[in-house]
Amino acid sequence: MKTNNIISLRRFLYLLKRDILNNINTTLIVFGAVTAVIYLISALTAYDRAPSDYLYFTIFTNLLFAGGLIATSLVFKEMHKKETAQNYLLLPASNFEKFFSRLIISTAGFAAVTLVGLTIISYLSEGINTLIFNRHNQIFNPFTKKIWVLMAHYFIAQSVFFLGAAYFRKHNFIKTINIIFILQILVTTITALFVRIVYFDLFEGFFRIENTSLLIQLEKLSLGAVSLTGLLNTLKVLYWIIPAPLFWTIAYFRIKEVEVKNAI
Amino acid sequence: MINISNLDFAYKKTKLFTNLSLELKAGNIYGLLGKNGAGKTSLLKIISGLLFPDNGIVNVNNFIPQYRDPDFLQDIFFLPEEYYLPGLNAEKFQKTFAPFYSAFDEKKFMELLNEFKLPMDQKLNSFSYGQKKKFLISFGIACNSRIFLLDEPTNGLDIPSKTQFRRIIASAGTENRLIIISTHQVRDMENLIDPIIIIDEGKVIFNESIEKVTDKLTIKKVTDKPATATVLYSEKEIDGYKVVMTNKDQGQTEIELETLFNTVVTNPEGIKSVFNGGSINENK
Repeated sequence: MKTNNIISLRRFLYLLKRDILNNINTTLIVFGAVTAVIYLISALTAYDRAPSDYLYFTIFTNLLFAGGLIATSLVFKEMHKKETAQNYLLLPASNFEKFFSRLIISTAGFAAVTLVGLTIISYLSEGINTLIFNRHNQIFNPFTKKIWVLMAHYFIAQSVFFLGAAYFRKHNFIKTINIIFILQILVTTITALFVRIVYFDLFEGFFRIENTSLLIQLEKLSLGAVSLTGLLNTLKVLYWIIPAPLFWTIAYFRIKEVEVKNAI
Repeated sequence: MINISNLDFAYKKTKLFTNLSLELKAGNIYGLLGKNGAGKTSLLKIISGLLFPDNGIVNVNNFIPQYRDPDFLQDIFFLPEEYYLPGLNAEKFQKTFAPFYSAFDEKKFMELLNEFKLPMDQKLNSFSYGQKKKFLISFGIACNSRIFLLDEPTNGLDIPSKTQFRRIIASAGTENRLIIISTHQVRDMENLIDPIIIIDEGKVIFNESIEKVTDKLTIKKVTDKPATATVLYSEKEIDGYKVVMTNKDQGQTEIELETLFNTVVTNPEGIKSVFNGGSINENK
């Protein structure tokens, strides 16, 4: 297989441009509506005697997680819809380029637009608020650690919804949420049963731990040579490095095997 | 150019193709005919990599279609029966999509748009069904892909456009290019498609050139109902019967595609016998 058939920068840039322009009208309408809502919230908050220091951080969190995850769920709509699937699949770009273009748009692209857009909106809104009310909320500052940690969490959550977007044909967002919910119940149940069986001597009733607080009891726990703190640190590291690449890779393989008989 | 061997394909539990084999060569405009549900569109989709075979080998220009390599995709253009065009005008569409086709011929594209009298500034999604089809035919030809697949291309075209279509496709059929036209509108394709492929019940039951058809078969009009043992196919007309028989006197008569199709579908064994060197009488 020639390398050119996997990734070509020129072709990828054309594809990226096409993918962005494909939804530009909807994007602009949503952007306009969101801007109007943000200004309204900002004006109402500034009108209050005690303008908020955290207004834009809260808005950013909501935009990134609610907006970003919904947008991610729709990222492969063109590939699943009967009318558009054929055009998309036959477009002369590789499966990897098609995957990567949508990945860039829904991760770095969405985060960057949100970050820059909100910064500009916050400057404009608070400028207007200062003129009208003579006071303003704190301007959005994208250069804080909190923002970048939040974005890292978004990339991990996004990977799950990206897989859902590639996998499900319809109602991707709701279906992904349902799957997460079911998995969460399963994991919680299995963990609870595991702890109840392995550490049975710590329990008084069916699920009641004797004496002191749960945290103190948990600190006593160990799994052989591995301390619980060590285990938690390992899980934290795994959380940062495993899920996103794993779900993105599965999504890529899903895109490779899409046929038009799957389109509805 | 296209080699299909021992292809099996099914939609869930409904088998469509079983052990289908087919070889198609460049320089031809193949007519792909078959009854409703015979699998014409599915076959085109398998060739273009939109559907994957369950078993067997499909080789198109030395590519495996289901991998959908870009080099493969830019060398094949599939005009489906139902399609979607975005809310762009012709110029913006060209700017967005033509860069993916390295051999795209902008001059040819403009010529064809002019020939079909398509407006350049109107949004494509506001075109009529026929205009959309003409636009995609123009774009497809301008892409200069070596394989051009058309599914029911004359549906929705008015009479002058059908004439234009035949002329444009005939001139697009170069020796390096393979065109497959799947259609029910066989009358629109008279004198255009050659060879003729007919698929029925998951198999290719006929794959012959028009020259061979006119060599082997003859069509006659008779007033009385013919004896069934001597004819391959007959149909009642207002003033008698149209009869398809083995051509024994070596003269050539023109065979209408519709009649040929009916003959092959109603009497596949008789046709097989004639084209494999025997005659209908030997077969009976």
